[in-house]
Amino acid sequence: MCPCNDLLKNIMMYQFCAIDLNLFLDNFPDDKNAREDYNKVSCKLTSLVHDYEKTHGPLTNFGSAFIENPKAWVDQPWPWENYE
Amino acid sequence: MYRQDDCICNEHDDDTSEIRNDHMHKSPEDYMSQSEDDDIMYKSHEDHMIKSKESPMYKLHEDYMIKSKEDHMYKSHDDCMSKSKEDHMYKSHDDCMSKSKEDHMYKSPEDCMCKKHAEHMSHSKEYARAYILPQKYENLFSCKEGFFAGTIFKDLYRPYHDCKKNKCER
Repeated sequence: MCPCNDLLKNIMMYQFCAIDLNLFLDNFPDDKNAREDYNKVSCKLTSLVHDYEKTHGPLTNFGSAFIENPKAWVDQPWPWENYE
Repeated sequence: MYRQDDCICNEHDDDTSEIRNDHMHKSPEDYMSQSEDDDIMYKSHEDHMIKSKESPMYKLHEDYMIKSKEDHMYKSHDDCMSKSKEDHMYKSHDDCMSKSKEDHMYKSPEDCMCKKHAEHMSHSKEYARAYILPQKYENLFSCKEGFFAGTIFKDLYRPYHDCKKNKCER
């Protein structure tokens, strides 16, 4: 399996965890443990995304992703094309 | 028991009897013209009692009196009239009449029945009552387990199970 696939899979897992924590914090914003976990997960997710984009190109566009230049968004394979 | 209140009530009866006698010699048209001239529909309770005796509003007054009896644990009319004269005759009665006007004069009897029925239903039955426990931040999956389970909360994990053949065949 391509190492990028493992990295992308980890990104998807942390993204899902961040979404679920976000939904919990919508109802209980004062929960200290949930906020701490959300901060940890979001930091880990940011670092994973940064590593992936540094080696395999941008995951997203519209200024939210780390990219060398806008041409990389078009020329490189799409994230789902790497994930096989 | 009936000291000052009783006197007030007697005076009230005397006044009422005088007006009643006066009322016997006048036609309803006289009262209508008089009320239009004076432009005072509810000048006093006594006036209203006599002037509206033949009008539908008189029935509302009787309804109010019956309601007052229910409120006062079926005391006699005189008791209610004397003891609650200041409370009801000049204040609550007007409130009741104005409320009655809103409720009855501009609505059909069917509407009133529906309203009473709805009030009765609202007091006697409830459609549903929700009981929700606040979710606690405990019993968590790891990120990997939560990703495959569809939730990071073990308490919310409710996987679908394959139905049995018999149920599926039905």
